[in-house]
Amino acid sequence: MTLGRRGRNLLLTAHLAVAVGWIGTVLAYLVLDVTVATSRDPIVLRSAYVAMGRVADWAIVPLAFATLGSGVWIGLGTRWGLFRHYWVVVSLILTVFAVVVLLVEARVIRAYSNVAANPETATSDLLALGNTLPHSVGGLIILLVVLALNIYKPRGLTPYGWRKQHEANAGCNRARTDTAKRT
Amino acid sequence: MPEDADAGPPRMPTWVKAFIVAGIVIAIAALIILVAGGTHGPGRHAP
Repeated sequence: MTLGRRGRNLLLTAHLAVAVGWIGTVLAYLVLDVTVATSRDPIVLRSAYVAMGRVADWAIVPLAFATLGSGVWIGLGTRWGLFRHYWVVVSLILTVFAVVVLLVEARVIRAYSNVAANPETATSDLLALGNTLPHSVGGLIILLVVLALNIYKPRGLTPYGWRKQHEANAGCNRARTDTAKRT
Repeated sequence: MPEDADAGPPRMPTWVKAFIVAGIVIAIAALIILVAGGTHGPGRHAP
């Protein structure tokens, strides 16, 4: 189903808001991740781990799903499609990959958060928890790459996109010829 | 510029090939870390 102009703009606005929000929340999470990687203060560590759990569960994961869902909807509802242009296909693959890794990592973050929230957790256990820096930095890089792809939209039709465009052009030419014959 | 209809589907752009190569390199690196007994993966926090 192709979206009308109003619907497309509304959906694009929502998609941009949640996608940029996703990047913003990952940045906020990264600050907390760097804090737990560098601090030795048990109060700071406890607060940061609990905050990491809240940010991941209540902001990053919902925004990730909203970004993926609205992006797929835009792809299906506009001429871009989901599999017609390489930049859309690569963006989709990277976003799905980011969401899957996020879901796996969210379990780890929740475990950290629960341990830190427990007042009986010893400081030594808190210091031994570790961080998720490779994933948060990697995730941020992937999101920035997808953002760049969506802005620059590098050229390149997939074989499927080429076929669809070829069919559309053939249809237009046929309609033009029929009109010319009639007049 | 529209692609030539008789020439067949266009070739895969260089930037896509670069993305595929980068993806394969990263996947192999992650696999090596896993096989080498690193602490990567969600199971690293299991007791």
